[in-house]
Amino acid sequence: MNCSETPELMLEAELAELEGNGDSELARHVRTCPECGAAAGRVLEEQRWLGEYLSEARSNTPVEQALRLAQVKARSRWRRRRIWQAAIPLAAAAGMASVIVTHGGRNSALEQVWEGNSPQVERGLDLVTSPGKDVAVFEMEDRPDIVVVWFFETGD
Amino acid sequence: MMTARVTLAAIALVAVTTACNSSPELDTRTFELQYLDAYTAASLIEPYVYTDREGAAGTISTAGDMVSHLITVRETPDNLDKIGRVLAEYDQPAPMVQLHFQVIEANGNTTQDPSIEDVESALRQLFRFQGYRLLSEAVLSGVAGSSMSQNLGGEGQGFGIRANILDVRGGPDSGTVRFEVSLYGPPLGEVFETTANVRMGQTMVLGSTRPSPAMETLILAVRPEVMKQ
Repeated sequence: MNCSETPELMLEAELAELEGNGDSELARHVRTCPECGAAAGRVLEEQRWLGEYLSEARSNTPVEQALRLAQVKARSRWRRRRIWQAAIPLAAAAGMASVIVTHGGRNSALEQVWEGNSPQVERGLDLVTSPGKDVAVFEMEDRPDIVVVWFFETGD
Repeated sequence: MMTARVTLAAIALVAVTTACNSSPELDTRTFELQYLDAYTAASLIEPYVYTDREGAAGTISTAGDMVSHLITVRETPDNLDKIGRVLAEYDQPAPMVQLHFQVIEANGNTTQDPSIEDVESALRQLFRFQGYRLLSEAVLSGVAGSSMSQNLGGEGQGFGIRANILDVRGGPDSGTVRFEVSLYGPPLGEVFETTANVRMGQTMVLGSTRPSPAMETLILAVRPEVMKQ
């Protein structure tokens, strides 16, 4: 197995495999490849945080936590199945149709795991931000007349 | 022999006459423009003017310089009618857009402020600030290409808004406007700046983390509307 194959496998991997436990190809590779091992470690860390956070999710969300969640979603997007399933209770509770994150500047940690080449805000907003700023876009199902755009420093 | 020469000459004459008769008859018309300048109008109608038509080339000319509002076209009557229709369709005033701004402070108030009711109800769904209050508001108007700025007073803090309307598309109900907007203040510098497409009547709410520890979070709501002509 080589490193280019691991992202797809990580989409469906069990947490134990990401920890390098077991005899699967992925687990063996994560054990022996420092780069993929580090990537798996980051996913595990975010997964733990997300699990803890969602267990405390309330009907409305402090902005820092919402942004943190948005960042986590962005970083973990390639692990889309588990993350998006997990995020549904929060989105419903918070009345959010979507949280989309994009980048005015470069974020190397994010770029390592981002699914596409250039993260984009969707739905025709075609947003441009200052360099060094990240942005989360909140669209609400019940309020199509309003779109909320929140800026924060890259790396906040 | 002589008869043959006469016949050939007659045929040639008929051919030339026929060729001349096949050239379309041209007419000349001057159009007075209300909003378009002659340069833009000339670009617009260029495809309808056959400047390479043999024997009857169409022409476009302007009175004086290209920024004048008179344009004279020599073309066939049919094409002149088409050109008239095209010019009538596009020689329209640029849509005037009003941008309604509200500068809102988060955590600034625990009671509900009716002047920001719409925005506040959406923000309360998303964030857990204690409350919101309106610091200042303004309405700026312009057309595509307009740059505008306004200083806004606040309680102990001044703000400024800069906006550039980049493009306006569609009508009052289904159109969009692309604009660049920034919120700034002397003690703060630029709080944020962005460029975005927003639907007419939709409110874009812009916010950021606190500009300084001494200040509360600032939010700028902006809603574009096309003014009725």
